[in-house]
Amino acid sequence: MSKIAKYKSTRRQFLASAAAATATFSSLGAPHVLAQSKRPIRIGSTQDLTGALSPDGTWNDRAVKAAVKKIMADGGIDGRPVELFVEDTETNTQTALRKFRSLVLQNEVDFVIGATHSGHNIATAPFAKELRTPYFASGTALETTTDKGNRWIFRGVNNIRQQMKAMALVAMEKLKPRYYFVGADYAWGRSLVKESKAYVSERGGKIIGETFIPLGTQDLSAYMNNIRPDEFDTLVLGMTAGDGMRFLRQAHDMGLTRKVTIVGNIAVTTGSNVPDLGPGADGNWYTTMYPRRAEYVPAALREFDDYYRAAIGVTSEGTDKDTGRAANLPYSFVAWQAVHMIKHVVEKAGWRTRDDHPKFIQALEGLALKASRDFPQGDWSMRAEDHQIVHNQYIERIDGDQLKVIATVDKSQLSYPPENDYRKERL
Amino acid sequence: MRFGKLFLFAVIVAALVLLPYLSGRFTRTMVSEILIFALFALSIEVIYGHTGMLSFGQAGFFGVGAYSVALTIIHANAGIATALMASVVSSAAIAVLVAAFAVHLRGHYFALVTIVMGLILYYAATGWRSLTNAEDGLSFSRPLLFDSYSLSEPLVSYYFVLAIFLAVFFLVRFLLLSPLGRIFRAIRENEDRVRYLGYDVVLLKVLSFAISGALAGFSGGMFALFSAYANTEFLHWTLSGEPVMWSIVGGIGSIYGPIIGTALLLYLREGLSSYLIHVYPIIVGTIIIATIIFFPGGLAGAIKTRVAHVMAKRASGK
Amino acid sequence: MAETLVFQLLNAMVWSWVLALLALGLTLVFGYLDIVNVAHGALYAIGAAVSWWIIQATGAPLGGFLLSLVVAPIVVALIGIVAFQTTLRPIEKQPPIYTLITTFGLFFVLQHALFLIFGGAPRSVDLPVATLIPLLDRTYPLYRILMACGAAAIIAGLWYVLHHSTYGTWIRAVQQNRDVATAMGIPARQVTLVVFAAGCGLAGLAGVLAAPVLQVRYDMGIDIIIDAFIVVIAAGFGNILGTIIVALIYQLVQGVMVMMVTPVQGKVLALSLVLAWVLIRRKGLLEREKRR
Repeated sequence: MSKIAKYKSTRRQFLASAAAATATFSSLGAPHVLAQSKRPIRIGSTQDLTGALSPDGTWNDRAVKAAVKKIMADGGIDGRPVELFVEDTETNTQTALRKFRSLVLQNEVDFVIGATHSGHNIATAPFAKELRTPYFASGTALETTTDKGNRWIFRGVNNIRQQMKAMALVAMEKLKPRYYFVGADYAWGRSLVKESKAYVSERGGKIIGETFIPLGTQDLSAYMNNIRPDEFDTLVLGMTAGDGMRFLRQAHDMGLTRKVTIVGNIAVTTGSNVPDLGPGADGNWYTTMYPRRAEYVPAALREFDDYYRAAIGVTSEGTDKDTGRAANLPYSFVAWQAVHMIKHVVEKAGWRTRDDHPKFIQALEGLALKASRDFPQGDWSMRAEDHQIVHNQYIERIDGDQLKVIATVDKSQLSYPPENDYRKERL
Repeated sequence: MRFGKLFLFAVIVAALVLLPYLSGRFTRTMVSEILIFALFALSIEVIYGHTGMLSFGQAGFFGVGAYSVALTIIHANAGIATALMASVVSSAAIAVLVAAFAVHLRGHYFALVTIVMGLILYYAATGWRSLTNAEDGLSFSRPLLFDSYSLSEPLVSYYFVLAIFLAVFFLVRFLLLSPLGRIFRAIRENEDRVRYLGYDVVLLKVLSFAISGALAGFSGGMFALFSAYANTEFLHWTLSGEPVMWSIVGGIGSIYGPIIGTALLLYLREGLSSYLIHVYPIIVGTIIIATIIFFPGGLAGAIKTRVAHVMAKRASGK
Repeated sequence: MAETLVFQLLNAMVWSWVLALLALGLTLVFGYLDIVNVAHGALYAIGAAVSWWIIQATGAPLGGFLLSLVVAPIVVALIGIVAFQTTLRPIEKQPPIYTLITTFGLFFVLQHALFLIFGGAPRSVDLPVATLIPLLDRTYPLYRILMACGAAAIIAGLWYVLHHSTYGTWIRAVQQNRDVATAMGIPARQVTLVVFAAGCGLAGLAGVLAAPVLQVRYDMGIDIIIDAFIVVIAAGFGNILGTIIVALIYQLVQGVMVMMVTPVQGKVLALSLVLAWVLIRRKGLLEREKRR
């Protein structure tokens, strides 16, 4: 499909530039002058298909593809077909930028769905604005919707502040008050530790210390120096799949987890079945956007959840129906919902071409929609000022070989005053 | 023959100048990127193609150049010229420092020491988070060119890159055709003989490495300007291998080879990667190996041999 | 403070053996064949991946692990043989530096082929021996100590083969003068192939040993390979004792450094220290290069 599309696009580019040979600064506008309104709506997707975050990327990719397939089966967006262009970022920010540019300039996509890598989201933000293309960030570092964001970026997932607030609300009630923090040494991990610390100290918890571990560190012993297991009761863990799993294993082997409860972000478990996480994971708490096991999905959402799981090929245990390995439900719904957000907003705003992007952005600002097959996570609302969504959050605990939901935090508890108002930016 | 070459060259330059009127914005962006990375590949031509020392640490200079641009713009409000100058000076300075020790080594040892040097720069950059922001990198807004043109304008950006590329290309060409370039080649062929002729080989090697480092740093600076961004992945050793691969495929020992190779492999990367996402590195790896085995002179070498062959046939009257 | 130091030193000593094992595979190939094998890191990852598969297939943490100690290096060595015959044999007559570029291409091919088969997600291997030894206020896994012993035993075996067996004599003869060795009836082509395969097998073995501690991922060799490189150039080619000593010093320096600076800064200092040592010793290296 994409091969034909590419050929067509070059030919149209050629026609366009021949027609516009006299108009010098025609750069982006030209091809769209000729573009008809029945032209397919083009969605680009930049995902971490290889490299460190490939467990996230492959599931986001599946969700985006399944969503497009569903929409096409239902008659497209506003009666128009959807063309999907997928690019691999190699979990490399420079590549992510290049692929974003190539999607917009070469494939002339109208919207781009980004990766869960916050570094990519933040670096892409200025280019989304420069190339006037709405970008849906899937990463959760706070900055994406504060000082690094702009009016062209939307985030369809609770950010790290909201996620860790949910965790703090539950943990501070039930766990002992001395906290230690371990984070991956990049935007997301730093952001997670900062936000968790803020909530813990606000509620009178005691902060014992913090350690940041560079991505991809193999033997973590050198970083475990300052972590003295007798000095704290709770360890807040902000690491992603591979690194986090290594931490759990090695911390257990080094005797750091014996008397300690680990509370963390669900990203640690991405792509791992519970037994893979090893003995260090037993009893851990995780803040998550989506229950792994269907039995913990609220009754009102069951039907939507069933549909969504079937569409992306995930069992009610949260595993890939073919390989039996854990899916990435906490994040992949973000990609699924982003495609559907595009559909709803395009239809609502009467969007026809790229020139209507301002209309699209204004329609999404402040939008609130109910749970449905399109939005299986539940009701959500997109804050107008900083383009940050808010939805319910769950706390899961590892019990035997299962992740069990032990608490649900309502979205009304997760709001905070917006730090920016992107609406001041001219469109 | 000379005329033919000149004509071909004029056609290519004319095509590059007219490109914005012949193609879409994507091609223009892509060509800009190729031109910037061609300078990176030329840095390999200077140190390896001409002087015979294979450097596997060029990403260190590339990253230092990129950060020089980012940091001077962010912290010193530098203009484009100053920022680029900073990238040249800083990377050349580091190259001289390394070269002062490393040029005594030969063959594999030199290559391995440059890898390690690149790695030290990489870890130093990731460890110095307050300055470099590590993997997350620094994004910045680009200063205006001559105080009036914005690099966000696609045409400005393209002609800026093209003008810089042509200027640097001719400078490097002039340098390599000059007596200095001849001595570099002589060092490659027989270092001892050059020494017996009374030249200070160590000094000349340091000079060659400094020029190469400056070129790599400059291309890093240009790339940072182009992407409005720099991060520590720019210094990683796997990026050091890229210009070497481009040069080998294009053909070392000729100033055109690395440029051809860069264009070819980057074009391939763009064309292939969306369809054969995971297979692309395997294809590239295979191309490198096949080039080394079947066309050790690269594409430029193969063309040269072919042309010479045809010429010889014609001369012999067949 | 003192407790942390004890802990760090013990851990540094343990890792130095795995690093030495990895570096030995490189130095063997480098020293005897004049080939810098950049693909060594990918072979290390393949060894670890094969080990994961075997343990999964057998379902026995210890039995599967022991089996993979035998099978994985053989698989990796076979891959090495195919790679050598198809990519390195044809360029034997070319300048040796070309091998560096060829193996860089090989590194791309192998690493991403592993990705296609193994996938991008990390997989974990249970400790074959789950015992944890109490140490001060924490514990230390017995497996890590056994891993170091295993690496040491393999290195000792290698040393014995090189210096006290007929084949070892052949290898050294081929390295010193290939033409004379061939004239004496030593099958030089076979010897070079065996040395390359053995070097690859050692990378695979190191991967098997490290897998239970580090988790298995297709790109796990990308950084550790550079540590191995620096050990090789500092120790000098084919020098087994030197390799062990340098690996130990390199790890100990990092272990002590983390008492004062961050581990990444410690790594910068350790690398700089070893690099400075290499550059100071450069005259020795130069002479050796000339002699060959």
